[in-house]
Amino acid sequence: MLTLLGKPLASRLFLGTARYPSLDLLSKTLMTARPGLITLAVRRPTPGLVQPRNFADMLEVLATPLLPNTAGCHSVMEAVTTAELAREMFRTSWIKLEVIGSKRWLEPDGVGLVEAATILVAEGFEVFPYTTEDLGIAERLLRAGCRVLMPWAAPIGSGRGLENRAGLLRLRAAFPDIPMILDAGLGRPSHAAEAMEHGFDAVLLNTAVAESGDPLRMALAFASAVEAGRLAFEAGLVAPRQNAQASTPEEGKAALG
Amino acid sequence: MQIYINGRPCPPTGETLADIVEQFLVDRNDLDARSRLAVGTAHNGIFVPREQRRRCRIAPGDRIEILVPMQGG
Repeated sequence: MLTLLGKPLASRLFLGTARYPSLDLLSKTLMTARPGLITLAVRRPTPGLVQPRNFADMLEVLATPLLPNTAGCHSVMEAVTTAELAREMFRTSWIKLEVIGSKRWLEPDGVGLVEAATILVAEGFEVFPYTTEDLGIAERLLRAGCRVLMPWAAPIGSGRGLENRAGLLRLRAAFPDIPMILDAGLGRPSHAAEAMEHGFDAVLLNTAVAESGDPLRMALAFASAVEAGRLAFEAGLVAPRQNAQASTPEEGKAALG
Repeated sequence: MQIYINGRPCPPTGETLADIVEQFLVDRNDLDARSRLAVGTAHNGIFVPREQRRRCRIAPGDRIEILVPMQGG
């Protein structure tokens, strides 16, 4: 069981809710995989874009804790206003803060992120900043009052896994007491297991499940991988060795040669 | 007089933001009950809390956003 900012969560797997082929399939996937948190957005009710009908009903039935986002925001004020809207609409002060710099790579804008986080923390938000593995930005986010970090594994939707493994491990090691959720870029359950083996507290993903051939089964695969990786982390991994070391003891071996 | 609701130019349907939201929800009868209750509003890029919509007066050229909960990653 993961307790995040005092709130017990049922799973270390967090899921996005976008890009599913249907609302029905999304609902079934969430009911079966039981993620610890789900992410949501604030949008114009544009006909044909998504299916607003019954979406809010589904959220009520699921009763899964919500983490609204500021997806697509490229300026500090846009992100702050979106967070304020989300707090009223979803009745939570938790916000996944995205301030996007590069449109092509959807890379977080570290400077804007720190500025927006500072404003939102002062307004009473619990800010979950979508950031990179940059240690300096992480330090500033924590100084701004963030109590969680959400570094990317790889660009959103890329499915590339832990692209800068060394950088992510440095980040994990630099702030051992800060809850850290690896967010974005995970493509396979093995990526999630790897993140958990390295001591990340949870993973957040969307596309890898929603766009798989069978989202329901893929969500279960990720849930199992997250659990396996966490168990391995808690058990303690053996350090890799340069040379072979026999598992079976030499002692007592018969002289048959 | 013209204002912009969710980026679309249109004549205002009232004097306050509350009036605009009310008419918007009448027009958008495809939205379910909970989404209607959850709509969020911004006026010229500034968040307007639900209880302040009645005090928010509309002027020509104003940009109104009326938003609902959606799927997101």
